[in-house]
Amino acid sequence: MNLLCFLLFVTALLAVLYAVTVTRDTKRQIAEMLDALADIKSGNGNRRILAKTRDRAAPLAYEINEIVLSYENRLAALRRTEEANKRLMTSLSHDVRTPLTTLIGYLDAVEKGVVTGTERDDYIEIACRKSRALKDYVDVLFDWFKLNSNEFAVKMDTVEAAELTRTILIDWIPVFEDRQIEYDFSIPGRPFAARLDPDAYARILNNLIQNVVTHSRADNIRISLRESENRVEVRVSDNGAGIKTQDLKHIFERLYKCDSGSSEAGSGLGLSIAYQLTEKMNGKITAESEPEKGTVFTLMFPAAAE
Amino acid sequence: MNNYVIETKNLTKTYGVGTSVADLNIHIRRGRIYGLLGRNGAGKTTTMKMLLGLTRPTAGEVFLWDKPLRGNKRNLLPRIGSLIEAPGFYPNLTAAENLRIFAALRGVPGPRAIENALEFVRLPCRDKKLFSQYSLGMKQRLAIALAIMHDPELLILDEPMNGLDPVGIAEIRLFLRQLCDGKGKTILISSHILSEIALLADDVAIIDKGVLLEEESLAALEQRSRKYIHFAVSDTAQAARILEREFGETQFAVEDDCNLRLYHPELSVTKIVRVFGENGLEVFEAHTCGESLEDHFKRITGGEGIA
Amino acid sequence: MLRLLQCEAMKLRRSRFLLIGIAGTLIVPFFIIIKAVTRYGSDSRTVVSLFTLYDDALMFLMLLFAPLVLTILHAWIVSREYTDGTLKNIFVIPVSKTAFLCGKLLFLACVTFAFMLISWLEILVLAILCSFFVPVTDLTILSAFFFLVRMLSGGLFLCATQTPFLYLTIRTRGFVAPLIAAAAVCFVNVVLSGSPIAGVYPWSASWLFVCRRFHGQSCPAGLSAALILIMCFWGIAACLLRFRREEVG
Repeated sequence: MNLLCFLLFVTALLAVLYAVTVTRDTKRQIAEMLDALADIKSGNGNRRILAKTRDRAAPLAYEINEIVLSYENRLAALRRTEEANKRLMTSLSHDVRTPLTTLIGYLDAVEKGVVTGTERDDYIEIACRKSRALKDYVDVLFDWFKLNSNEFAVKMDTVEAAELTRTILIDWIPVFEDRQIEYDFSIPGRPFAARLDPDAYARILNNLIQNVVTHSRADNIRISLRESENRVEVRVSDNGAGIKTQDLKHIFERLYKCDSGSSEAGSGLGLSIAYQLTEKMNGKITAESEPEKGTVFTLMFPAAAE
Repeated sequence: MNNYVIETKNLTKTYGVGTSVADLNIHIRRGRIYGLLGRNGAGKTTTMKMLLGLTRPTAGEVFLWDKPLRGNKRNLLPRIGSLIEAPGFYPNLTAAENLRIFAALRGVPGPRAIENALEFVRLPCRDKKLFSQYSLGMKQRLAIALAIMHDPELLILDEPMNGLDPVGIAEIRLFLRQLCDGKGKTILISSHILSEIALLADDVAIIDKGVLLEEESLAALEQRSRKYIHFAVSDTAQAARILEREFGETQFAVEDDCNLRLYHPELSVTKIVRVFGENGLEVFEAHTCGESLEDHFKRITGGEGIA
Repeated sequence: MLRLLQCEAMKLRRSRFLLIGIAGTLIVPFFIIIKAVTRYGSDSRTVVSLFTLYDDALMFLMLLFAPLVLTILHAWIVSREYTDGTLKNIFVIPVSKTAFLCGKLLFLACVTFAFMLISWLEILVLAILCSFFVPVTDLTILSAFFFLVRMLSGGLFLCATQTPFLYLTIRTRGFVAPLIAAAAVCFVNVVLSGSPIAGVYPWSASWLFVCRRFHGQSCPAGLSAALILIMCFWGIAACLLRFRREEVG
């Protein structure tokens, strides 16, 4: 009898103890959740509510985490664009100011009569070139902003890549001749059907060639088009200064410039734009380079199904 | 609310007569990678242990998210993921079992947290291999998995690249960068290798013999450490034209109407100043600035260098 | 607290020390049965009695074997957290040091009781097996139950007297020192086992309590109980105080 009473007493005690623990745990958990939610509400999207898998409140906590995470991901994408725009704005002031100041330097010299005769003509020509480069830069900038605000829609179409490439390259021949760059195009005579947006394709190719012309100091450029494994492959290779290995992996990043501070207008945006456009067209762009030997850019696009 | 995730106030730790950390004041901003650079034994690990409450400071205080760590451990520590010194796990258990123990004690943010963490560090989840049979690199990976399992806001990683192969190091570096840029996590990382920190961090603190020598953003350090010649002249437009015409130089940046930086320190300053003068420019100032990062660290740590 | 205990159990999976512990547990009852049966074989006037079997087992266990085997197990369970470097991972969770140590202590108590329970069960099973070949007296449910209570009370005393070894483990962060101490304690146990002052020595006193052998002792049972209690409290308090000051590294 005594033993029974004792057992009953112990059981009752344990039950009370258990109830107290559960209540306390639940209270604490709710307090923790509220604390975390207040933090999230104040803008900290990285806060998570932790719960043990077998807790009663675990599904609730996990669900909240998932919602917060999905919002946070969207916010993060927005923040990234914002950050890039901010950086662009800061570097813009510098990228425009230096070439513009230099341009003014030339024009001032002409206006004040510091130079005369052929040198004067020379100066005017330089000023012209510099202002055109600035205009190109502003154009690129505009593209870039459009791309980043997702206003740049690519219209995929089945196009004849060989003919398209030829048309683009023809416009460059005078530039090459003017700068005494030897060129070598190997584009097969037969047609290549590829899925492309011709406008975007032209931009990519132009940006790559522009990059060679302005930055590589090359005196030879080769552009070839061929088909390999159901893909159209375009290679733009030069024998110029090349790109240092540590720079090579960053060249397609936004705003990456191998050397900052230059009086030549150069945005560091051209390759980034080429990269983004290629991605939009389901293509691939890669770069290989050896310093002082030259650089090879390779573009690959899916060929159109016959 | 200020933006410091970690702030220490005169943090000090003495062992017997020796001082491991002295009057350390560091400030770690939200969403940044903060590199703690110092030689072995400089006090990096001790600092991190104090930040995590593993070691009690002799003096000073640690603030995490503006709250003192002392007395708030219960609320603050679950928001941190950490990796301190060598990975510590139970050798008779598999990776998943080890993580399960810590998950049962701390809780996780989702039902698949353990699998995700293991997948993330590329350790097989259903592996029967015991922790004792793991290679050093795999152990390190598991430790990283433990640190990120609960998706913490702040990561405190003590030499996380130890024991990893070059491919693994590149992977982890990319991942940390992505955590910080993409998800806005804050990361404190320590290393004795300058290049490691230079590749990864946004902010750098250099400590030597327990003393904070410098705390600066990497961009500022790099800016400062880039060699250039600074000119203050009466007309930057003319200066720019002269540099281009007379010296064939394009590597310069115009700061405003009278300040200009030339990133080509090999050119003779006196010659440039003379040519500027010949062209009717007034030169108020011209001096060479900057030193390489390595030189900088060597100088402030007292000559012996870091790595 | 329940979760801490669960985790402690999870940590034992596949461990070699657990096997050593179980093997150590199984040895004593086995030898006691062998001894009783061989004595019966050489002299058939003696009987194999469940009573004597348990009495012998309790003596061997309480005085000699349990402190050794349990110290190995306990010291390993505690010291592994230091040697495997897992404390830093646990403290940052955060698990409070007090809660962690209390969990450990509770788990060690569970191990101790499991140790006694297994010994009890083994003797019972072996005795039943023996009864098919040789006569075994007192083999009733009641006597088995009677000794179950004694064995478990023995476990309780062991829990109390093991605490100093635990303190040594925490203090030295290894299991060599506590093991040497346990061996020394057992040696003194053997020396004192027949003497009238066994009651002042907590380890042999607990055996006296379990087997009710206080007659002929020069020291009153109350004093022994007080000594055991004091040692137990001192052990737990020392462990807690020491562990709370624990700093990793």
